[in-house]
Amino acid sequence: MDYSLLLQPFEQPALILFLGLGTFLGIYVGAIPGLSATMAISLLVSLTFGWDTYSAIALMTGVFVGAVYGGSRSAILLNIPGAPAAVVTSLDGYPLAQRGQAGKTMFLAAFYSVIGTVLGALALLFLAPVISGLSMKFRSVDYLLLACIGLLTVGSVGCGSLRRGIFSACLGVLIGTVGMDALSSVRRFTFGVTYLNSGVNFVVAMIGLFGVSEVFVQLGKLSVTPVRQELGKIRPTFREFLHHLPLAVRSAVIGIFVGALPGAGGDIAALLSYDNARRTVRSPSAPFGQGAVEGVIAPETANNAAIGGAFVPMLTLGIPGDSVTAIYISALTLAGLTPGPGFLESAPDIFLLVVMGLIISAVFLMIFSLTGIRLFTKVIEIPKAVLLPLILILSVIGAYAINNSVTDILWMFLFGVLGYILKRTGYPVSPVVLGIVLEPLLESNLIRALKLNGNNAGRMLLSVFDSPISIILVILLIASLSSKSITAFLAKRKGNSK
Amino acid sequence: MNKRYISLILLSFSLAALAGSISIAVRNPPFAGPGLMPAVVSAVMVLCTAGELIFPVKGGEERVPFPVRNLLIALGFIALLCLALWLGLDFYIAAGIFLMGFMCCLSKGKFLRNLIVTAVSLVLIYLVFTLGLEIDFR
Repeated sequence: MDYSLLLQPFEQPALILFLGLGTFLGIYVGAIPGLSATMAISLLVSLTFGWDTYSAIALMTGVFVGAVYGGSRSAILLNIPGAPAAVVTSLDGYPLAQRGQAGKTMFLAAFYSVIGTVLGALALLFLAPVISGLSMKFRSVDYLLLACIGLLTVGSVGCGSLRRGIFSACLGVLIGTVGMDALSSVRRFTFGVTYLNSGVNFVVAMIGLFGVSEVFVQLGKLSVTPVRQELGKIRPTFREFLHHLPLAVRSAVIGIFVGALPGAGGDIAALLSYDNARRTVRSPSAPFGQGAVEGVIAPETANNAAIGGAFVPMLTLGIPGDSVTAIYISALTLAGLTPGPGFLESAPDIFLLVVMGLIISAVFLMIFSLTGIRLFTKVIEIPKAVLLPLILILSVIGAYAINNSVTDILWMFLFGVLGYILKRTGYPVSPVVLGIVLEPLLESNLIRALKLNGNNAGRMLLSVFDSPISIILVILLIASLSSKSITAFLAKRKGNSK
Repeated sequence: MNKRYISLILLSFSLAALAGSISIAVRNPPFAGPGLMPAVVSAVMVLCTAGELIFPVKGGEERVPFPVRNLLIALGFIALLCLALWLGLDFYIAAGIFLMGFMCCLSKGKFLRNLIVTAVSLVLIYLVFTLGLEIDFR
């Protein structure tokens, strides 16, 4: 491969301009709840149709990188994740903002998103053939285990009880099953409501469960004075950077690998890296779920590293790693290119443009993410009587923009009421959203794994021991389930010995 | 509300979901069919809520007063907004009334500040969403 093609953006400055513009737009689009990277890039496909292929790819790559980071801003400031990949960030990011650390948290999210993006791009450059080969060894049962680990991870954080977390995750999966079954066309839990035939839109559910329910909770705290944000020292010291570097590298590796798995994107990468951080960081800055900076660094590094990972199966096998790369495939096909085996040899210029585009976008992300931090943090200091109606109207726009439907707004508010009830009764909300997001992955792989084992559940469970990948995932699953009890047991023992 | 009542309500909901799932599975025979996933998750929900009923967990719930007045105001304005949009009223008129009314009720006055915030917000929404992102609110 002619690696000198990596320098093509520098020979055509317009490409650098498009990468910069895309990153800037991506950050602000990603920060608006309801407007995701998927939506922005699908809009761009129609907008850039007829453009020169290089310019279109540069713009889309910039938006992709910017939007994945942008989702964390609203998660940290308002507890409304801009995208599913930022749901985990809100677990610790929002409590940090409530303690006056919003500026520093947003800077950390940006900084480690840049590291994740660069490591993901380097992995795409050097490891693409190796990773794509390994990801093809994943079987249906492995995907099933992967989704279960993700749900258990979030289920065990954010409230005191794993049982309540599992309940919320199952409730989310149950909500995800509403509508017409993709395989059998059977209507499930639609109760004759036409709107429900196509299922519950997870963006509507996400805005309702996070945004609207948070507004309802805050209505009870109107008299509480907003926390004054510390903006004097938002950059971490070199020592802090070195301290968190091993965690960032571990999270990036998880992000790259999970991103490379077809169908598993930044959301699962963020979940697994968070779980890894929770189990491996011995003395976090605060307990996880209550404002640990490690709980922001791990998912933010992983979800951006997953971008590079997601391009691996897309470019080398023609299989999209996530929803955004699925749209990329259509954009490349429109340009007369066919991603898949042999693509790296037939179109090395496009492959290397994507790699370099990710790295340049990461540089722009570092520059642009510093813009608006002070302005964004001021959002928290706005009086609640003004802020809450504004959040509600933004949520209305986010829900409406999906299908231009008033019914979506109504469902968003119903999910808001559900989220409020769950919060008041001590059940976590994040697992519900992730349950809805992960339901298709869970169900399709459960059915496939069962069918491959002759509809025999026992044989399916035993098949787990046929592959080392499955055995590793089972160990991780058990670790996710038992880590809380083991930690509590050890803490109790330590207390007794004292 | 007493935790036991909440657990009972959730257990009843989980049992109803399980019954619904089983009926889907029975009507659509293959074991690996459309009823399987809902049945599995609702069975886990039944186990979790039954566990919650027998061994209740302490804490976890929001410790803020139940804001009856503010919640009623919010739900009233939300209902009004949905109704106005459903009846085909222009989005900017409906959103303006919603913002202004809701802010005035929450802040008990401060009419001029709320009027300015509403006007600025609507202009920004128009610039970003209608002009920039071409979202059609009609």
